[in-house]
Amino acid sequence: MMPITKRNAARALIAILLNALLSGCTANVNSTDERGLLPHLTVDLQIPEQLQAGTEGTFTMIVHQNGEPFEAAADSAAFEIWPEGQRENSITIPGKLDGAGVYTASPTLDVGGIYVVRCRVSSTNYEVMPSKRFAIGEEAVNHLAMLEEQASSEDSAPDSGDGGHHH
Amino acid sequence: MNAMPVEKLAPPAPESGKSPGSRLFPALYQSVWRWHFYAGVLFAPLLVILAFSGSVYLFKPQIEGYLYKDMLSVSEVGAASLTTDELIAKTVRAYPGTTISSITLPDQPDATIKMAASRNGTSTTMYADPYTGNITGMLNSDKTFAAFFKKMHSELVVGGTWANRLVELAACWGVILIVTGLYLWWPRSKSAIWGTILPRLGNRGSRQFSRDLHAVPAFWLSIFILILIATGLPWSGVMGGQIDRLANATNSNYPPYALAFMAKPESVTVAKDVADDLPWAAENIPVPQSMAGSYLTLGIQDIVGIADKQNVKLPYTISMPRGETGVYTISTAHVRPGNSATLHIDQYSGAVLTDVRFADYGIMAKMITLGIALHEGRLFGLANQLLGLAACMGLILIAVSSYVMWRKRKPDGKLGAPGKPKDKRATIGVLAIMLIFGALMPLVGLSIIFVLLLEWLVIRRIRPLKHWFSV
Repeated sequence: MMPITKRNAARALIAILLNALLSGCTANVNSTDERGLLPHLTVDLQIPEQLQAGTEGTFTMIVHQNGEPFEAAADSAAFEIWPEGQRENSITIPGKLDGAGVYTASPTLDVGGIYVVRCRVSSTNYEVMPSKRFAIGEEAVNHLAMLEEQASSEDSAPDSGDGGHHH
Repeated sequence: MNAMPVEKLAPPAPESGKSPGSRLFPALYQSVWRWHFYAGVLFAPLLVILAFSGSVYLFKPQIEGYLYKDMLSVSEVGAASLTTDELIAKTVRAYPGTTISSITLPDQPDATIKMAASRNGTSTTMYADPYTGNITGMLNSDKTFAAFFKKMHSELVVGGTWANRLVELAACWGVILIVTGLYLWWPRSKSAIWGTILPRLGNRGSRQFSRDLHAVPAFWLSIFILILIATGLPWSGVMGGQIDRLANATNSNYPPYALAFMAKPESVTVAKDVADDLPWAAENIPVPQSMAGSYLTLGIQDIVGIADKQNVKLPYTISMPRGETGVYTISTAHVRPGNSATLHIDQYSGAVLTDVRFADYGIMAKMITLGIALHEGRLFGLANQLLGLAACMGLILIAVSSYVMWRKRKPDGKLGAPGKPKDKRATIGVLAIMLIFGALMPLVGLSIIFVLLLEWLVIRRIRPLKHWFSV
């Protein structure tokens, strides 16, 4: 039998209590970076500078985790593209690994207009899905330029409720 | 055995003449009684206001559920509900000049969706039927039934920092009233069940009757009232700050980003493009054939998907990002705190930047969270509410019976305060104990210093006042 003295028991109890007190900040918090954020992916989504209806263009995403290129599992990096406002007509193209943490896709879009491209990267721990709009054709470019301007003026005055909504 | 000396509210006489130390005991009793009396006269009215407003606010869910029934529940549960994005778009179209800052998704299929909105500058709570998208009602957030009683409870209706400090002061003096009261109540003989844990109700209208209606329920409720005060203090301005510092010093506070109203992180997972000027718009350059826009803020439905994936339990609130670097915030609105979660989501990529659950809280933060739930009567359902109600009603009874007791004893032309004990050691000793309370509760300390100065500089120098206050 272990000699359990009263003193030892008291010590053990104090150790347990101290431990409980000091480990108050636990799991999720311990793994955070210096800004207090959980590990996460950063994404740079690049849209081709020149796009033309009916011609291939190469979309690129560069994925990092904590400054290191992120290797996604097969099929877990993809591009989804749809004409703005018509999510139901979206197409999904798997990203092709093209260097460390770099994924590309080269779709051909047959008609001009405003589109949304969303890249999706997912793994057991992370999921990100940033998206951007892009425009093909002069009319769409003008329209998108207007929308972007509205969006940035809304951002600078977040409290003006009626800024960007047309009736 | 009913021949307790408390009937005369005089200190219990020691059994027989003994050492000179035995004279100290009645003097101590006298001095504690004097503090108890003055604290009671000054703070009982405020404590009654707190007890009354608190007892109403306790039943906020039931009362608001009844008052705003048509707003809070849908008339018919539909087959499919609108997405949150559709709902907000519809609301903003129907009510121009509205900005939605957060949306709360319920866990009941027949409950409406609550949205915090700003309507032309007025903060408004809007309720929407998730199946039709129709607004079922709107409330000015500052003018709801519960908001009124909450303001009475925390700022005595008039509002402002001073009122809030006064509430804290009353609560802290409440602690002293309980401690001094327990001392006065303490049974002096073994057989003294009557008048201590059971009231002597025989002689209605006697001072003993009102004394027992004061001291006996006060004894029974003292622990509950102490708990209510202790669990209310984390909200307070001065003690709340101290509690927060203590929790930080012991590393047992809330971790960063634990609560929705704390500082938020920034959306950092995408490099925001520098907003370039569009040269062709101003100058005579041909419009290019294609153009890339900047990153889009995710829709609220995307955030709902993330909340589900992260196993956040309904009901929860999604707060919109503020400005370009803002984040979406998911925070739970659980009645019981065990499932609490607060997540900050990058508004462009949907990356989970922070995720703090109840389990991540430090030990003091856990206790504060549970304490607040207990204080608000939502820790263990109706029983919790009824316990809070009993404590509030008891407190009102204690105050009323003490008032009756005082009226019965009060001589004309005098306040009727217990006189100062002859033995100076008692006066000084009890004052020292009070100053320890004052050091623990800074507002109490300040008020004691104020009263001492007042007595010394004014009351002692003006004969009628001196007489009235029995100084």
